[in-house]
Amino acid sequence: MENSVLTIQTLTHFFGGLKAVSNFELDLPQGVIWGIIGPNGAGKTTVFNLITGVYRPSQGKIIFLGEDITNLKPHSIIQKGIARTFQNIRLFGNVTVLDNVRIGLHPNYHSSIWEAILRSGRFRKEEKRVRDEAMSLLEHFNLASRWDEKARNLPYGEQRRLEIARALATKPKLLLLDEPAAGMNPKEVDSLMDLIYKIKSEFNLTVLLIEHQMRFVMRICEHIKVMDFGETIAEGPPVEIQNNPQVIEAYLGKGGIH
Amino acid sequence: MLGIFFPSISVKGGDFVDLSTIFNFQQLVNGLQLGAIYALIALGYTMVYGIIRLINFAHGDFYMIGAYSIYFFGVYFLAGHTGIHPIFVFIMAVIISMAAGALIAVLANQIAYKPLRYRPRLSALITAVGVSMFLEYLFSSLPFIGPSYLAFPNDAVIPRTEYLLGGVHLNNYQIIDLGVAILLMAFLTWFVRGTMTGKAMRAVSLDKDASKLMGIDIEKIITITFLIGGAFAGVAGLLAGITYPRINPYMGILPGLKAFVAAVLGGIGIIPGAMLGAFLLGIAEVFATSFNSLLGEGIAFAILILVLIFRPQGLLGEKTAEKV
Amino acid sequence: MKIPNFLRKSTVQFLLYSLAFYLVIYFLNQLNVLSGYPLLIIEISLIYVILATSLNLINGFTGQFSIGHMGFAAVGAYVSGTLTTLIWKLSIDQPIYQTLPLFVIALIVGGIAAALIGFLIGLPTLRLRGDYLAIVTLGFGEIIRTIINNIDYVGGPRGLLGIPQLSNFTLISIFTFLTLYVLRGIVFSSHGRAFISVREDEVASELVGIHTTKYKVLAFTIGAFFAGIAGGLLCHLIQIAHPTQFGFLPSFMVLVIVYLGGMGSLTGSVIAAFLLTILEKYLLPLGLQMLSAWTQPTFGFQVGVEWRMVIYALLLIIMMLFRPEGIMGMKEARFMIPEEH
Repeated sequence: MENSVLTIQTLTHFFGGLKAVSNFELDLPQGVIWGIIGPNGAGKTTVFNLITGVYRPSQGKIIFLGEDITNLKPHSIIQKGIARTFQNIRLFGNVTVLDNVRIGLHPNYHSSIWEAILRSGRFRKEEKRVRDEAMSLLEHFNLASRWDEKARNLPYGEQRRLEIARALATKPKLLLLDEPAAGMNPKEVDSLMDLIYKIKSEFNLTVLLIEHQMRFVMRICEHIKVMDFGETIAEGPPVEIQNNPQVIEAYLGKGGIH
Repeated sequence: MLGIFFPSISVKGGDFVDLSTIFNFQQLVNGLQLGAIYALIALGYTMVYGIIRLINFAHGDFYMIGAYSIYFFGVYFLAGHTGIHPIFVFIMAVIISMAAGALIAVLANQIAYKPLRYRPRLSALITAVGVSMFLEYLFSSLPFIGPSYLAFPNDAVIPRTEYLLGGVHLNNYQIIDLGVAILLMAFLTWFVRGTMTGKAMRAVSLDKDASKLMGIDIEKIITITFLIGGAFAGVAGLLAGITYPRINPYMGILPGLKAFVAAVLGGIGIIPGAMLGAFLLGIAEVFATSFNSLLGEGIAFAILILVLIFRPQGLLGEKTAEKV
Repeated sequence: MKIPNFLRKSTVQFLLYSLAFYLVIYFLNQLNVLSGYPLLIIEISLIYVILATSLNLINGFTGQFSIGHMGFAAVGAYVSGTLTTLIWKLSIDQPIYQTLPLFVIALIVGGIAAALIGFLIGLPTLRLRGDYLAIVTLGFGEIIRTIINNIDYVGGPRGLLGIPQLSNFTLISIFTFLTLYVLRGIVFSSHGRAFISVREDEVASELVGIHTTKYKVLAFTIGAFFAGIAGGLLCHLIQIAHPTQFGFLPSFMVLVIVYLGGMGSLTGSVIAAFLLTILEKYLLPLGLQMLSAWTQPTFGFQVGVEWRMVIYALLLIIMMLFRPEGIMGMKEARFMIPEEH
């Protein structure tokens, strides 16, 4: 596709003898919010892990902005412009909120370790730039007042927001969100949706997300892929997915709907 | 670590390296014998690791304690009670060494490891280093033990007899070492596969939380694991004592490390893997030593590094991916 | 009274405190208050500061578990000792302007050699988790010792003897302060935060774009470099390099210092290095004597100095059980934190 951000072809992954992901295909256009849904163990997070290089695919090809990233190391993939969050929040718990974001800014940091030792002019300038950028990101996420707090002491909702802030610090073009609404109440989910819309337009992002909360997915995603046992069983706009008998079956079991 | 290496088996030979003196049946027997001792230590290592993901640095010291228990048994009991049937003496020695190893292992778990169960994994590892150091230096500081080598009363426990079989020198110690190890390994295999406790152990090593929800008493299983592991290490100390009859408080460090290497080689947490790894390592070490003594000392670590680079899951292990 | 602004700067404070420490000890020594043994204790404490803070970079900040730190010190000691003693045949009778530059070069070459070994150790261990790494570093220490034992040129098991006493309080102080200055500079920078992110969550760190393997190797290389320097200073202080000096026992002592002081606190390592050295040299012999007064009549044996390792081991276990964060936790004294910009 002409303006596609991420193209995945015949992506397949085995864990031992188990086929966790099978022939996954994706052609993600620029600037959209797409979702992947499916029951537990359907292989959704594995797809994220394959995209970000945590696992090396058994088969298939991943192309990001025209470049084959299939066999790159995770940190190189992130540096190319993909960022992600985690199903179970993975912040750097013992460091401050500010430092969590500053660590996300590190790959774009331009001062050597020698300059750090000597505290050179360039080092000071870089440190100031990184600090200012981090603070402005925190302001976006309404976390600026907590900058000095240890990340592990934040309440759950703020930890989720901080994780997204840290992901954005890496200056991504594509953001992968792994169950961003998990554990949130309806009110929090609403404000999360607003936040995702807001950062998407402000940071010019493309978003791919995994989610269980149907209400959330159906409202925010323009296009949904449904996975079950590693296979893609359906895809299309939310309305279509909602009425797809195969999808209903995967979620509720055979004969679940009368 | 005071330069006390595991006694290596020396080979008589000429000045030139004759490959037939290195790769022959005699060496194979020596390797199997060393492997049997490694196997008994490695089993405890691997079981504890499988259950609580702790490299128990002190495990080699349980082996040392097993050896010392028999030293005292020899000095304070056997010396004053001659005329007991030798088989009976040997059985007593086996029981005592196993009890000593098991006791210390269970105590170490209760006092030092249990309170740290839900702390970061590194905490327990550091504590294990502390426990190991404590046992070694306590033994070397106690005036009736001391840091220097003591002669192990091997002839009092079981007298040595030699056989010549088709040009190969065998002795009863080799048969005993292998026999005891194989017997205990058979027992362990039955225990883990055939009993409810054994099945619970396997369940805990697969998934601690799920096992707890299924009503398994995790702490009880951990205690039993330490008990068996400690007992096996203790009896390994007895076997090493009769085979290489010089013991000191640091004797457990290197065999402990090498047994750990054996466990990693076979696939850590996998019981048959530890046995396989130990025998392979024992044989490799004997062959390497007869080639060059420096090589013999280093081969275990060379194997460790190679395994970790090329097959980190070990020979019998399955590749598992970290959950993200 | 108003404190001038520049004195509030932590780097200025760091330099002032260092200078003050140096001058106080120097004059006490000149006045014969600290001459001889007490001065030696302070010098050894400073060397332990270098060892502990550099190990802290690996274990405390980067979250790796290296327990063979003295192996790197051995490399530094033997390389620098070989240069000064066997190759250049330096002696303290030569004028200082001849020996000093060569000694400093020897120390740095020793540090670089250790760093190289640290780099090589770092490479294969990249993929290892903390607990495997511990075994590899322990094995590495053993291998280094075995190799030294087998090199006749440096004395083998007898050790390298007759090393000129080129280390002195001034030189040791300078190297210690330099080490602290460099380490605090690294730790409190974006690179330092990269090290810490590896400790906090290696996977997450990689997935925010940090080249985690690079930082792990870097931690080993830098840590080994300073350990090498410390080894060189030590053997030129006590005039001998011996394989047992660098075995597991002293490595263990450095480990205890790091955990006692607090993982991820340079200040803690400094405090603990002094505390433990003084404990070992003064308090422990006294305590053991008092203990002997009880054990001698009761059990019929003395509690000699060899019991100190038993006590260290107990100290480590008790600390892990009751205060795992150590003296300082992850906190630093203010003068150890440079200003950000």
